[in-house]
Amino acid sequence: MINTIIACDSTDVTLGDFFLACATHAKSIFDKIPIMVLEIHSQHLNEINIGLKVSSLNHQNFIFAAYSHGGEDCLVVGATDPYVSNVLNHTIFNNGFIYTFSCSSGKTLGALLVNQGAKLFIGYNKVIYVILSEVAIFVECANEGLRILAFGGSVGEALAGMTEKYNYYIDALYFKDFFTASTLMENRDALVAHTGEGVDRDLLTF
Amino acid sequence: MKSNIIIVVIDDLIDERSPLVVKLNQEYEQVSIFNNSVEGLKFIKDNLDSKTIVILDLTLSGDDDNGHIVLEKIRANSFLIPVLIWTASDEKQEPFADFINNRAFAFIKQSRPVKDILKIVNEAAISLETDVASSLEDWLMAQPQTKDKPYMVAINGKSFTVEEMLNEIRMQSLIGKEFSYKLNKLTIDLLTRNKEKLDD
Repeated sequence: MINTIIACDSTDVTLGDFFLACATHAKSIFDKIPIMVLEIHSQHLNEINIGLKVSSLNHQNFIFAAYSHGGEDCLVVGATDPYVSNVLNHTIFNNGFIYTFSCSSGKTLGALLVNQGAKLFIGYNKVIYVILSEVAIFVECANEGLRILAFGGSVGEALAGMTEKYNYYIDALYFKDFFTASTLMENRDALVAHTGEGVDRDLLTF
Repeated sequence: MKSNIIIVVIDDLIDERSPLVVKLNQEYEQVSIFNNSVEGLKFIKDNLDSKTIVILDLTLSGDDDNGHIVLEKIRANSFLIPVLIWTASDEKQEPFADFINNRAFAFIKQSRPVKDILKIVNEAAISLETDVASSLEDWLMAQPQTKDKPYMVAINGKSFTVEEMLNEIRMQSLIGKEFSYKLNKLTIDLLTRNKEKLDD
């Protein structure tokens, strides 16, 4: 049964290849466990499709992993058109474990989705960057929390694991490439999670 | 050993025999003198990839731009070049707000002893060698990436080539300053996580 959606802006002009690499990596994680994945790519990333697919899953826990550009209150396709936002469809993510690698959406959208019934939002509360000569490292860091959640880890473990993964590469890189290391550090520090009030993050699992 | 920082002197009345230039030549590998601002500015622009300190006469002769305008033109290319304004005139008579805005490194009276002026030039050299933004500039220039291909992309869609990053750093724009800030923050991060130690 499908209980995971991967939303990926794979044809984005600047970062389509990177988003696709993230989605492919995420899929390889789910290949190892009994989780069925539905992928939605750029041309199908819109309010209607998201509404249809999410509504068919939200009666139980599901993962919504998004790799696209974003803003404080939205996830966007083609860097401009929202497919999840505070006005379009923020009420449909009941039971959702939402996991994004997108700019700033952790600032407003994350808390809003959780207030409207999502169980978790992991994302970033600032503009985050990718160094194109080190895509594999950025993909691995981007998906570490998802990997931990998919294998039964708690939200607390996922966040700690992400920080650990970022630190691992910061420490491995800073001597020869301090700029990439500092970019990973900034991404690490922009990482944010939202869960419902009173939820123990060490007990919350997918 | 002489410093490999290039000293550019823009002054219509100076030549190789000037006591200051003689002293500078003893401490710096290259001292380039320009008697007009056009040639001086061209040299600065052509050598943005080198560490440079400029000693700029405030009052150039004839139709040449004055030091205020020349400084502004230098800043149109880089804020990382220390510019020492050097003048025979009274600093109290001189408008200086633009020197602050355009970050002149110092305002020197030409009547001061050569050793004092040299000391200020050496301070500028230390500042240049230790400045985070200058280090970042050096590092970016050494990157093998094709300069017109994006090097860093934000997940809001904005991308930067190495060339654009260099420009942001040289112009000390908001994002250029952020790059430097990130490096300082990385140092603190590594120290607080005990990955690095400060030298005694």
